[in-house]
Amino acid sequence: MEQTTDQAEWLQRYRLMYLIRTFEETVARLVRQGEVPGFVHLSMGQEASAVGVMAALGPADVVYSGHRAHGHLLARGADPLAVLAEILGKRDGLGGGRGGSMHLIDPGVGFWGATGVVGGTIPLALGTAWARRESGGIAVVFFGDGASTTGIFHESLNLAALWSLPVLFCCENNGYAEFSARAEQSPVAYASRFAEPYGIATARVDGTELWTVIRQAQAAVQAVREGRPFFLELEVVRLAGHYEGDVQTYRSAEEREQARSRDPVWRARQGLLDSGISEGEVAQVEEEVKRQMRAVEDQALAMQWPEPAAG
Amino acid sequence: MRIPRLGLSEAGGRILAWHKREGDPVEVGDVLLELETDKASVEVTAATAGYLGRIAAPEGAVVESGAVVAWITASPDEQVHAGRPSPGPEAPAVSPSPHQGATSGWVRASPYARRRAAELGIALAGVTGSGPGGRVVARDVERLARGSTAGRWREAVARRLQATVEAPEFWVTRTMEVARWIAPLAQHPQVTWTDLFLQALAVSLPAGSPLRPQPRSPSGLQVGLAVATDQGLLLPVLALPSDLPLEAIAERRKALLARARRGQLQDGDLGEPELVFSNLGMFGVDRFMALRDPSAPVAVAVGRVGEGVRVEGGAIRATWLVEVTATVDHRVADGAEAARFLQQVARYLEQGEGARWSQG
Amino acid sequence: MADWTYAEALREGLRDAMAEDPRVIVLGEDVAYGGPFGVTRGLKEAFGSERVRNTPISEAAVVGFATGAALAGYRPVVEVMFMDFLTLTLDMLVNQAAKYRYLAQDRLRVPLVVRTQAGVLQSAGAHHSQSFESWLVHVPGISVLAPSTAGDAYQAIRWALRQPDPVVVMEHKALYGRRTVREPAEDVAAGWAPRATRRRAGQDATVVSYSAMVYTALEAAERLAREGVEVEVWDLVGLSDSVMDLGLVAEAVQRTHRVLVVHEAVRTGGFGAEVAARLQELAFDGLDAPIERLGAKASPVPFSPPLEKAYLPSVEDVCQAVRDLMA
Ligand SMILES: Cc1ncc(C[n+]2csc(CCOP(=O)(O)OP(=O)(O)O)c2C)c(N)n1
Ligand SMILES: [Mg+2]
Repeated sequence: MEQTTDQAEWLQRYRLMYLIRTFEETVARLVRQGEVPGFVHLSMGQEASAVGVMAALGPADVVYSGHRAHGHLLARGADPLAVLAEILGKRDGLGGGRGGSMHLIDPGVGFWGATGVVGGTIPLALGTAWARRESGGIAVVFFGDGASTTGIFHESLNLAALWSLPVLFCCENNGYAEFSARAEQSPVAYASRFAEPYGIATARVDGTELWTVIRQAQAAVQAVREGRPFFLELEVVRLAGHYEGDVQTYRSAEEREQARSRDPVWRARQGLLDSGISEGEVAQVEEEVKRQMRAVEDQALAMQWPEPAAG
Repeated sequence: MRIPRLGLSEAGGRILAWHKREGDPVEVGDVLLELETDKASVEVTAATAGYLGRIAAPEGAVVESGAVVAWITASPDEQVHAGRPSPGPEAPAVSPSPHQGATSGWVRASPYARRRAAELGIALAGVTGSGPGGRVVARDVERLARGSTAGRWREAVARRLQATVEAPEFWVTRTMEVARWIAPLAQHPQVTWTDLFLQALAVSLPAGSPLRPQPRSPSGLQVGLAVATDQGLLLPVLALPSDLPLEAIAERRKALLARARRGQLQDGDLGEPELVFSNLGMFGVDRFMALRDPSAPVAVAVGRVGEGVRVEGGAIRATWLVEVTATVDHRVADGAEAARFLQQVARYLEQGEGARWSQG
Repeated sequence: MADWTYAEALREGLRDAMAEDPRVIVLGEDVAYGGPFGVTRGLKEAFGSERVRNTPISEAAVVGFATGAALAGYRPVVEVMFMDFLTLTLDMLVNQAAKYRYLAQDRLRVPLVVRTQAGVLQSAGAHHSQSFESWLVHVPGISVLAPSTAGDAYQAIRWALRQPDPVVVMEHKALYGRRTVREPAEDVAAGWAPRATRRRAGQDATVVSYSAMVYTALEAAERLAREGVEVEVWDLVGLSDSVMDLGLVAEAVQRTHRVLVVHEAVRTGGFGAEVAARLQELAFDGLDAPIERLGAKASPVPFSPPLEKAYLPSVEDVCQAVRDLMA
């Protein structure tokens, strides 16, 4: 069957989501095999948010993220091999092995940094947005619902509103900050509510629904390009533990089952099939991605360690 | 094990060689080390038996007298813990911590003092610290170095000269006839004129005489022998009981000189002389004045024994003569007393009942 | 101009840098009104409120903002009104700004300058008097300068704004009004780099200091000279690993064999410990006494004038410490 332009693009978006998922499944397995040093936070359940928001951005825009950043970086177009190599601490990783999972940086694709400190990159996006206001680019910062209880989050909302900064706040609300549910963290259920008194435009969307995210992100980005901040809250699910190895005793079986029913990758796949793309075409994309990841894994594992002197 | 007080000098000296190694058994009297002082090289012997523990002052080190240079322990395996010095002002400080056992003998010294000590070849163990808590600081090392390194010999001579120049001195010379000794000395080739003069001096300066008011040692008159060695002028001391036979004098003197020339003087060789004796007769010198040592009120200089004439009752008689000159510290004795001393010597040589020989 | 004050020098440094480079911007609380110490006076009038930006009381967000702008090529100068409030910015400084260049393998840089004002003066009290340089020097990636003269203050600003990485300029409130002769060469910005500077020669002991304590040390040196002790006084100017070179100071130690380090910060864990450690590495066998450190008492900065006076090392404290060193 002949694909329409839309279908080709959708398949392309799905390929990215599927890549992120496969990539992180690979990382999870490598963690279990003891190949991954340090802490790893997987974004399974948040792929639609990453791919959907990136779909609305241009090359001049700058993206910052938090500790759960693999998806954002891959969705922004980073080379999976360089990212995996960095997560493994290899010499030819994205940061030469200096950063690892929580400190991924790839200026080449407009990704200016993850952070291990919750809320740490929020004000950076403000300054970058201001500095690049004449380049036509905006700054986007991803953070979790947990970041909305930090001081820097509130200082940044105030400053962004005060100075009308072209910054897009993307709060990925997965309902948890580590092991604590939102209700234990704040009496304010949705972080986007904090933006309202500052006069910042907000939207809250189902972040597991790719096409919804894309549409809403496009509208938000449009508003930001006009010169004011926007707060986009993406309701996502956390399909993995807080970190790899987290047994999640704090979550009920029903709640986890419910989360799984909102798996964004599965939903995007359903959407493709509903739009008339054949099972065979989707399976072929999936097969290609799996093959790509197997090669990436083999290559990354075979890579050299960095020389301490060069560090 | 400390450096003994070596005669007139408190300055100590430089360790030329250790004769024992750490761990060696040590008997009382064993020569432990050779020390070069401003006067001589001295063999320092062990005063206690045991085992040589840690050596605190290596060869080449300059140490003050009283300085701890090593420890003698009761058993060989005590070595590691040895070096706990007896408390005392010069005792190097060591931590009582057992972990520091290996560094016992450690001297509290500033890093700069250590560097200066190394540069100047001074053993820190021998330096008394004037810094806080008795720490050896650079000035302590430098003070010691000024009196102890290369220029030591000349400085020592200069110091002695200085000391004697400052004292009022006078000289008395008397010609003595020694013809009656020609034959006996010829029969005893091992005995020299010097031995004879030494005996004459020992006999002529009994304890309590004006030039020897307080005997310094029960072992007899302490005669400093000026000896020219490769290293300069030495002044080892020979103890002369007044009844010592000539052969014994000769023997002791030769042994002493040999030790001096080999640089192996022992503690006892370096007392404070009561009299300095110097004989330059063998060099053909007729008469000279010897330098005293600050501790000796008198120095006796003997010139060449040669043929000469005496006039007695108008008659000229050929005989053998020698000129003896005494350098006298005027603070101790006056001219008449000095003259009487030479008179005694002359009487012994010219009229005495004869020398004391061990046999015959 | 024959002489100038420390505050004037800082202002001229900012003014000259802003005139030369449009990427230089100034941010901080009340900076558009000159700031509480008048350092930024007139800058808004000269360069406009886009480049001289009054900020809300959001130290962390402002330093974070500046970091983000620096990443995008600006040269922001943030004034953190009191060094005491630097605590609020430490996450941004330490975890963000200082790490970027390393983590991004030089592909991103943070040419950020933070000016902040430290030190004890006239009962500013426990929250407005502290000196935190030792926290900063502990973080690789940040340069720390603590100028003591107007000339060095000017140059510190100019130098900081030429660096590709974060610099904290630690000013001292007691120095702002201090006048020093203006050397003509001070206008030539390019040649200057922070380096330890000898403020007085002497052969008996070396006193190492920086910022306002340099003057206490100099006064002490004059008093000691009347006692016959000649003290050499060194002003470090640059404190962090990136800018500190103790080579010349170590040479001085090899001449004087005695060292005292004096600063306003509390002695324990203070910067003096780092100086002492380095000097013993460089000049161990030149030391005839343990390196002494003199700093503030282990107490929050007290308020009442007599308490405040007792809190800081005095001229007499420095003299006594030197006398003890000479023992
Ligand atoms: C300032 C700070 N405090 C605590 C942590 C430890 N920590 C890491 S992730 C996390 C939870 C963050 O929750 P959220 O912002 O919702 O992100 P999510 O993990 O859900 O993606 C916490 C507390 C941290 N990294 N930084
Ligand atoms: Mg969360």
